[in-house]
Amino acid sequence: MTISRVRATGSYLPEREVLNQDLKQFPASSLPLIEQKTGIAARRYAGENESTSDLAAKAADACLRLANLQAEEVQAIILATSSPDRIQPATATRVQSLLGASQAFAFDVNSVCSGGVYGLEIGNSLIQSGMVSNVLVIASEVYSRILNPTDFSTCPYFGDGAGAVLLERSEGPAGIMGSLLRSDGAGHNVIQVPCGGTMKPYSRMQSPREQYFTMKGKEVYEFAVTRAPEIMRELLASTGLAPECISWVIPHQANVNIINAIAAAVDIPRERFFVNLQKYGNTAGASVFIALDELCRSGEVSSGQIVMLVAFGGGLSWAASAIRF
Amino acid sequence: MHKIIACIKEVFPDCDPSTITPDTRLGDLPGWDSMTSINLLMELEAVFSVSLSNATLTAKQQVSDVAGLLRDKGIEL
Repeated sequence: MTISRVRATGSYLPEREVLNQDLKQFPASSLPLIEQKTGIAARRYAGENESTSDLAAKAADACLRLANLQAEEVQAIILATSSPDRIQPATATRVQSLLGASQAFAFDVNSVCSGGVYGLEIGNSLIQSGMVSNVLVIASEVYSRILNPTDFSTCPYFGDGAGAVLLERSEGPAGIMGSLLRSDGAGHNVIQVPCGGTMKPYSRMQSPREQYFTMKGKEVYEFAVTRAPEIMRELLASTGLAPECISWVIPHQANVNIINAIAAAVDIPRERFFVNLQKYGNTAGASVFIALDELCRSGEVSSGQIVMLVAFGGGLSWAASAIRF
Repeated sequence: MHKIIACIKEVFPDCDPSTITPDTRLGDLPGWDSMTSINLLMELEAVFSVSLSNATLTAKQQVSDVAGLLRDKGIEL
């Protein structure tokens, strides 16, 4: 049986750490609200000369070093990002160049915060189809460049970072056991950057706020706490796994209150949910891969354990994947 | 009052300014939550050139309470 195995993971967090108290553009009296409402105490911001592709290449490099695989041996690169270097070309192509992955083909996936899990399943499908025998799936975001620095309802939530997963063809039993991808286009306005695309080019911008990321917080919360448990239960059913088979859940690191609500809605103990958002904030599509890499490098994941990834975000989109290590 | 309503529209773009009255509950504004309430305070500070650093606005308050807050700071409406 052909299966896509996780051969290695990697991540990169920029050096610059921004604590809640460093967000001096907001009233000092409001700053305690950030940790209280989100669980976030700090986030990382990319350096002035670092873009999404730079972060991606560093995460990918860490992943390839762990796998002891040369960049020239990579056959495909999928980059999940909703904060690309430029509208075109695909940011993945600059990553390919930075890595020297001359034999690969490279493309982007934009499923916002679900992007990492979407990319993972697309990579799995490329392997299952027989087109390639390995895929480097990267998720990288630099939201600090698209956030409104004076919007208290978005700016404190997000940080920059990148994660990578190297998938390779295997005969099992370790590997991706199943994935589900979902979207509901009726919610395409809930999370967005209004300006800068063909719908509203910068030349038609009515307010400077339109160049920045926006989200409708209450709608996102309701969507997340409904759809995430739903897709987790659906994935358990479709893979034939009982909740007690899941050793770890890696949820999208959006907000600790959302994660607590998801845990309460599924039959998996909260202590099996891996959470690192207190250190890095919400790194959008990259958060699941960054957390997966941190968990794997901690030595907490042993051979045979099953890890479930679940993500949700703009689109609206949501996705889940079960992986045996 | 129209300057307060303009501030509300700026922070809560999905609201219809024609429906906002002094009795409108802040919690009924589309997009209102504890985080966006800080945005409204910051917008009021910028538009009325006043410091509201220790002020809070809650969902149970009304637009008239916002006016009262500004009057308490010496702003003529």
